[in-house]
Amino acid sequence: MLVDARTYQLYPSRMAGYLADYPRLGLPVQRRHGGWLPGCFTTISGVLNQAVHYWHYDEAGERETVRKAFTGDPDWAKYAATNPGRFVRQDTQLLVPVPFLPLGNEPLPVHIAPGIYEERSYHLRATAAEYVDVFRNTSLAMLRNSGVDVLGLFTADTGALSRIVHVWRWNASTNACG
Amino acid sequence: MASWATLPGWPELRKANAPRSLYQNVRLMVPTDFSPMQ
Repeated sequence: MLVDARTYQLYPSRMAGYLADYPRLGLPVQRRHGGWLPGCFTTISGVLNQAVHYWHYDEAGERETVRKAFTGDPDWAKYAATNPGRFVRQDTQLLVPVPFLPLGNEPLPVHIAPGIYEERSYHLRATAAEYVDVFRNTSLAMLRNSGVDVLGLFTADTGALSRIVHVWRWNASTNACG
Repeated sequence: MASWATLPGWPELRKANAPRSLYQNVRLMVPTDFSPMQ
């Protein structure tokens, strides 16, 4: 399993147009060629005007196949023509999910009301494997007991290594903290 | 406000974990209308 976490940094004031055009013109083309986008978000803290995509693939070869297929589709070019002037930069990181949390591994619970998602990235002195072991054996139960919806934990496979990424979900009426 | 930071044992756990991290970054995000994850 593999998650391609892509961050699109938009110029201020360009987000509304992107959120109108992408689901209408871009995402359907990607879905047509087998792309599965379980999560698409915008940031409300830290660096703003970011669109964050979490793409799910069974393995790296599937990612390559899907991306090659949709980028070669003439309809993708029509969508891409809407984008000049929108993006400051784009980043992608390939994340490997741990097997004991749902995100990246299994269907997620369906929520009717939108929540708030907290993505926590830690650059480690320790190895990622050591961190994951400690987290699973100590922190996870404590977080769950305090009401944190721990959806996913990933180790980074590209970019800065020795890095892990948490994804937690909060009900909109609950404050993320800590 | 829900906070694991107030739970018994968390300060000790945090202290034990501190040597494992160089730095940490957090961003809060909300799902778009077309996101399956809500």
